[in-house]
This record gives sequence, C-alpha cells and structure tokens, in this order.
Amino acid sequence: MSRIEILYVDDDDDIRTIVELSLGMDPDIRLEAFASALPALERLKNWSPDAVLLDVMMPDMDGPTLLALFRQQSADTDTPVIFMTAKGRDADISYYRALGAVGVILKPFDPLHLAREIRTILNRAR
Amino acid sequence: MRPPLPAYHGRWRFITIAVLVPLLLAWFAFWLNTEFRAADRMAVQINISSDRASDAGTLIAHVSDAEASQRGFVLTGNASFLAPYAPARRKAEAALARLNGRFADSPEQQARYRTLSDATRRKFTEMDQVMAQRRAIGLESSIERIEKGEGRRLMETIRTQADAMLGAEASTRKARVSAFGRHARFLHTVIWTAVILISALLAIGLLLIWRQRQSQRHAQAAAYDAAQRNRAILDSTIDALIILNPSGTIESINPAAERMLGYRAAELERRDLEVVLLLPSARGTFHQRIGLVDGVLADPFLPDQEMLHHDGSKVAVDIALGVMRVPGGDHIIVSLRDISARRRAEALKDEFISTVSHELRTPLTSVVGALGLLRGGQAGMLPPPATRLIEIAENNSRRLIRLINDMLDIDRLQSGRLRIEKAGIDLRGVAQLACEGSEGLASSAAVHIVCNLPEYPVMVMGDKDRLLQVVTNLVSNAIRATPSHGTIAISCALEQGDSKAIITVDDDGPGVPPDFRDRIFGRFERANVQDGIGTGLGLAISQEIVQRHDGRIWFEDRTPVGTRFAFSLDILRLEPAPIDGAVPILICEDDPDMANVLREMVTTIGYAAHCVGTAAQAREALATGHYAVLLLDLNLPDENGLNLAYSLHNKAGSPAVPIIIVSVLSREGIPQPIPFDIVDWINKPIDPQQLSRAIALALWPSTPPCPTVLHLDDDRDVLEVTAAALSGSAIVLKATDLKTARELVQRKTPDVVILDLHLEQGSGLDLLPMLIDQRGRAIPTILYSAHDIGPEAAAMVDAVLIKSRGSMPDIQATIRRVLHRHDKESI
Repeated sequence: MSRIEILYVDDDDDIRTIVELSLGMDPDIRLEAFASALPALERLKNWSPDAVLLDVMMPDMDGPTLLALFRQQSADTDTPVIFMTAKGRDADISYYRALGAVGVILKPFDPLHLAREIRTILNRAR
Repeated sequence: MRPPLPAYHGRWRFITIAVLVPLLLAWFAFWLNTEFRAADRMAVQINISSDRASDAGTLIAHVSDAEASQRGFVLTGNASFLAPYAPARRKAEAALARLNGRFADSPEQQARYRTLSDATRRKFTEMDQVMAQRRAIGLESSIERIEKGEGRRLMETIRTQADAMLGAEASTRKARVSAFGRHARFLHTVIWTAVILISALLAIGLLLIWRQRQSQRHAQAAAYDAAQRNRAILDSTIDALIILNPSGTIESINPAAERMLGYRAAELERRDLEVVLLLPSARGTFHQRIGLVDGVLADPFLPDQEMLHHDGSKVAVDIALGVMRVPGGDHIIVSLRDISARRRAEALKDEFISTVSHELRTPLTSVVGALGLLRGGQAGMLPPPATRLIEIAENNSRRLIRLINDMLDIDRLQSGRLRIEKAGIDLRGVAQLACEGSEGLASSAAVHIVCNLPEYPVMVMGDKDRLLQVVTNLVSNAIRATPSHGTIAISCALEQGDSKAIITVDDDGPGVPPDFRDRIFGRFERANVQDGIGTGLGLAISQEIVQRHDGRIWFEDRTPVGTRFAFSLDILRLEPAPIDGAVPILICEDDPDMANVLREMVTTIGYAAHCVGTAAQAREALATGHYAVLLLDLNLPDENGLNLAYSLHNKAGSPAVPIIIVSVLSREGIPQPIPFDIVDWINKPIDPQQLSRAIALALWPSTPPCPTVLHLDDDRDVLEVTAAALSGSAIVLKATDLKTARELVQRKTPDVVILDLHLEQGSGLDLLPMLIDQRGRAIPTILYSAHDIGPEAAAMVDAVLIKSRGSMPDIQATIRRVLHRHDKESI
C-alpha cells in the first residue's frame, strides 16, 4: 500500500477533525488540513501532494474556485482533486466532474472507510 | 382524408323541381298549341258547314226568285217580270260554284251536290225554254210546257236535295259544335289542372327555397354564435394560442399570445411561424416539419421550448399542437403555456432541496463521523453499554441520511428528473462495489457478506451509480432482515441463454410477510412500521431505476429460509456498430468472448472496432493503414503478441501504430525490458475507464499536443465550465459574441471551434465562412447548442453536441474525434 500525501480544505471544524481522525487511522496517509482556501493555495505553491481533497461550499472561497486558481498557479495539472460535498444532485456531481474532479465523496461519509474510498478514487484516476 | 362538407339533403328535390317545371311547362305549351290548332280546325269546319248550308239556302232562294220571275213573265208577257231572273240565275250559279269541291269530306253531300247542281242547270234550261216559247209562240204553248211538270219536278228535286243538304250540314255542324264544345271543356280542365299542378310545384319550390334560406339563416346564426363563443374562449384563455394555415403562416393569435410575444395580432398575421418559433426540422413542407401525416401529429406535445419575443428575448414555453381539419387544409393550433414561472419555481425548489439537504447533511457528517470513529475505537475502547448507545445513535443518524437521500430521489422520480446515463458497464463491478460499500453496515449488524462474481464479464447498458444504488438498497434491506451471524450472498451472472444479466441478493431472514407481498414495491410501504427503520422508499426507487433500464426486479422465497431479491437486465448486444466517422481501432484477441467484450467497450466510448484473432490477420489489417490504435492480446495462437508489436515498430517506411497491451499477464511479469513504447498495459479483467483513457492517450499524439479551441457562446457559465473541462488539455479562447470571435480568429487560428447556434445577436454559424486555416482547409467545428440541431445545420459542421444531453467528457472526446478525422483527411 503506497503512501499518500493529501491536502485537505474544509471550513467546518467538526468535519475537518473527523476527516483528520478518520484518515489518521491509515498510517500510509499524510494529511495536511486547512480551514480556508487561501492558506491552502499558499501551501500548494511549494508542495505537490498526491491528492487534493476539497470541500465545495466554503465562505471565503468555494472549492471550484480554489481548484481553478490551483490549476492556474501550478504547472502541474495532473494532481487529482476530489470534492467532498453534501450537495449530491446529479447536476452538481456532473458539474464537479466537468471542472476536472476525479471523484466526488458525498457527505456524510463513513469515517471508517474514507481512506479506502479515497484510495479507490485515486487508483481509478491513474 | 379530409372531412367532407356537411350533407345537404334537399339538393335532389331542388334539382327535380328545377328540371321538371320547365319541362312540364314546355310540354304543356306544345300540347296546348296542338290542341288550339285542333280547335281552330274544328271551328273552320263548322264555318265551312255553315257556309255550305248558307249557299244551299241561297241557291234555293235564287232558284225560287228566278222561277217567280219566269212565272210572272209567262203569265203576263211583261218583260219587266224578267228583271230579277238574270241576277237570280247568276247568284244561283255562284252559289253552286261556291259549293263545288267543298264536300270532299262527305261523299253523300258530294252526291247531293252533283244532283242539286244538275237539277239547277236543268231547271234554268227548262225555264229558259218556257220563256222562249212564251215569247215565240205565246202563253198557251208556255202553259202547255209548264203543265207537263218538268219544271216542277226539277224544282222539287232542287228543294229536296237542298233540304237534305241543309239537314246533313246541320247534323254535321251540330256534331262538330258538340265535339268542339267537348274539346273546349277538356282543354279547360287540362289548363286548370296544369295551372294548379304548376302552381303547386312552384309553391313547393318556393317553400324549399324559403326553408333553405331559413336553414342558412339558422346556420349563419349558429356559426356566428360558435364564432363568438370561440372568440370569447380564445380571448379569455390564459394560454397563448396561434392558429396556422397549412403553409405554416399565422392566421390569427389570441390576446394571450399578443401579451406573451409582445406583438400585436396584426403584426404577426400572415407572417411565418418562424418569426416567433424555430421549428426543430428545417426541411420539407410545414406539415412535414412538424410531423403531421394524414391529420395525425407524430409528437403533439413539445415541452421546454423557447419562443422569440418581439424584443429579442426568449420565452420558455410548453407547446401543444392540435390539428384543425377543415376543407381548406389542415390548420394547426399552437397552444403555448408560459413555463417561466414554473422553471423559476423548479429552480427555487431544486435550490431549496439542495440547500436543505446540504444543511442537514453537514451536521450529520459530523455526527455520523464522530459516532463511527467512536465505534471504530479511535477514542479508545468503550464499555459495552456505551458501545451499544453509540450504535443506536449511529444507526438512527444513518436512517436520517437515508431519509434525506430517499426524499431527494423520490422528488426526482415524481418530477421525472431522475437521470439515467447509460453506458456499457460490467455488472460485476457494480456488485463488487456494493459488497465493499456494505461491509461497514454488515459488520455492525454482525452479518457476513459473500460476493459471488463470475470470471467472465457481465456487460449491460446501464447507469453504474444508479444500479449500484439498487444493489446497495437490496443489500441494506437484506442486512436489516438477516439475523446476527447470518449470511448475505450477492451474486452476478448471465441467465436465460446468456440473454439476461442478473444480480441476486440472498438473505437468511424470515421472509416477506404475506400481506406485504403485493405492495412491497410501493412508495412509503414498510413491512414493519414499528421497527422504525427505513423510509419505505428504497424498493420503489429501485424498481423505478430498474424499469428505466428496461429491466425487471422481483423477489422470491428461498428454501429453507430467507428471501432472494433480484433484478435482471438485457445483456449488451455485441454486434459491432460502426460509427460514421469514428476512429477505427483494431483488436487482436483470439478469445471470441473477450474480443466481443473489447469490441463493445470500444464502440461504447465512440470508436469503431474491428477484431482479428491472429498476428497474421493483424499484420494484414494494419497494412491497410486504416487503424489508429491496436489493442493487442499477448497469447495469440500463431505468434507471441510482443513479437508482433516489436516487428510492427521496427517496420521501415511506415509510422508505428500506437499499441495498447490487453492481457492477463502483468507487465511486471515480463522478464526482459520491452524495447519499444507502448501506450498502456491493461490487465484483464478490463477496467473500461482505463481502456478509454489509454485509447484517448494513444490518439492525442496525432493531434496538436495542446490544441487551441475557440469557444463562442453567449452564456458565460457555459464558457467557464467548458474551459475548466478542457483545462490542461487545450488552450481555450472564449468569445461571447461574433465580433469578439472574429477578432480572436484573426489574431490566432484555432485548431477547433465550438459554436453555440443561437446567440443573442445572430447565429454561431455566421462565423463559419472565416474558419479557414493557413492551408485553406476548413477548421474542425463543433456545434454545441441547447436546441436540437436541424440536419442542414448539422451538415455544416463536424460534430453536434446538445447541452442538455452532453457532458464535459463528451466535449473532450468530440474534440479528439474531429481533430483525428481532420488530420487523417489532410494526409
């Protein structure tokens, strides 16, 4: 099982804590979590994680905008991006995929299987 | 057939009378003329008879006068007595002359005439001789001659004959007068009868005319009444109505249409419908374009259309078409219902549901996550009562999540917006995901899940996510029904002579209660309301999804205990379906089943496939230069696949075809390094997505490494989404109007152009004339529109995508396809 480095952005402290705890159960996943988009973008300037995990609805900057800015500032367009969202309508999911997301994880998720779900998405994206 | 005019039943009566009366009158006039002539003839004959009688009487009178004159002379010797003799004789002879030849119709009278004529001549001769003797000899001689009685006998003969003649004439005249009288009475009767008859006929005719005029007046009144009613209905109805003549020209519109479209009625009347509505088809007659055949419309309801307002804006409408069959041709009634408010309401409802579900899910995410982590021991081991309480809280949180999900799905079901996006998929993958996804729930319920998947692919056309939802729902139900330490088996197989794909979910539960069996797939139906688990929507949603796949879902009892829930779908037909203009891909695979699976996967994602079973056949096929990619199995009967690949790459004088290895062998299992490039190495069983990406990767090198795409669309959101979708794979130039697009084309020639058909000002097709590259070739163009594209517009471009149907990956694949075709044509 390969080691995965993930950058994670979510404004909801509780969910962020749960994701951190959930993915922390997998020793091969290293997670850096951010509460808003701008610090995450700053971090991405000098770090190329294996995956970016983004909440969609955030107050200062939403996930799709963060993704667009990330693609603009980074020469590396291959970093897979996964959206986590509670808005799971067909149209929403189609839109996220159209933006270039390799996968969409619907909230609520199962914290005991979140790591496996992320690995599955990343394996398919490769 | 056009409907006949209303029947008019009095026609033949009118025709009969119109013909009969003149004929009758003509015949009557002719007959009357004939009868009058006959009457004239009868009158003439009566007159002739009278003349004859008169002449006979005159004759007797003149002979008597002559005899009296002769007698006076004889007795007296006075010559003065002879004065009347000569005139009487002339008149008597004249009367005889008049009578001569006037008895041709009566032989008896003719005989009498001859006797009378002879007696008269002899009488005058006798009288002449008597008078001559008187003069010459004297009185005695004359008396002696007279006494001989010759003169008296002749006179008697004359009288007798004349009287007989007079009597005969009197009888004849009487008979003729009688006949004339009868004839006159007959004529009188006939004339009056005819007058009465003709008067009756004329009266009937006039009555009919009067009645017809009354009917016309009533019909006009009824028509006027109906017209007034219809006009009132048209004027007061809330829906816009347009009436079109058979050529598609607007005949009339109602006030609601005036308000909706911003035109006055007079501005639209006698103008073409396309002023306010673009018809889906642009070819053929108006009736052909709207699909009207023999008075029947192929599609009388056109939902979600857009009308063009007078100010250039668009009005969202549902359109219902009706046919008005009248003798002047089939007229069309276009009924328009403004759905702008409905669309806004739907958008608001969608947004509301989305927001509510989001707002509910976000805290639930924390709740379920926290509970799950507690259950998983993340916070250390909990005492059994606490673990039980955590389970209760987590189960009920999950129930709340299911409720939200089911409510969202049932909303989509009720509104008909449950989207099923079918693609060729392997049902084994669906079953596998359901197994994996249900493990958490199963473990918490202490239920064991067994996944029975076949070695062979089970291909169907289906929506993977939706089918996964069905299987997950069945498994979720099975977990609830199965007692602790029970087993649930999820199986996938081919059945019914390999024509059906089937997924079964078997449980060890107590079975479906008998009184619940009939309504198990109903909405909000639950077997046990008291257990408080489930929304009663899962099976209804599952049934809807399966039925939308043209499949069947059912349940059956298992022996000795338990229930099997199953659904079946048609297996994906494996006949090759060549796609016009699709990129050709060669499949070299000796296993026919696997070759068919590969062919299906390749054609499903939009390429054309051809299968060969040996390396020799592959070489032969590739020698044509027709194929863009080779999918290569390694275990071929006549040669190792790697040798074939190596020889192809080292063949002089021809560009190497991109090769994708498809094999049960893993790349790591090959002992020596591979001395040539391959695009990808795909292990069996094949992941369709990996195959799709590999083929796309194989095709990219033949197209510009990062093509420049000009996208013209007046919807900025569409531009942004498309640009995001093509991010990294293309340079996207965005234009919202024709002017900007023209400037961009002049500044940099794009490799591909994406056009919207209907812009705020003009059509995207207006850009086509200047889409020529430096070599004078037409730049590949994709029409990307929210409207259905007519065949004429489609013929002007290289590809057509519909916004409501397409998705971003479609655009990427389409760009690939048109670029590849363009490159191939330019070689």
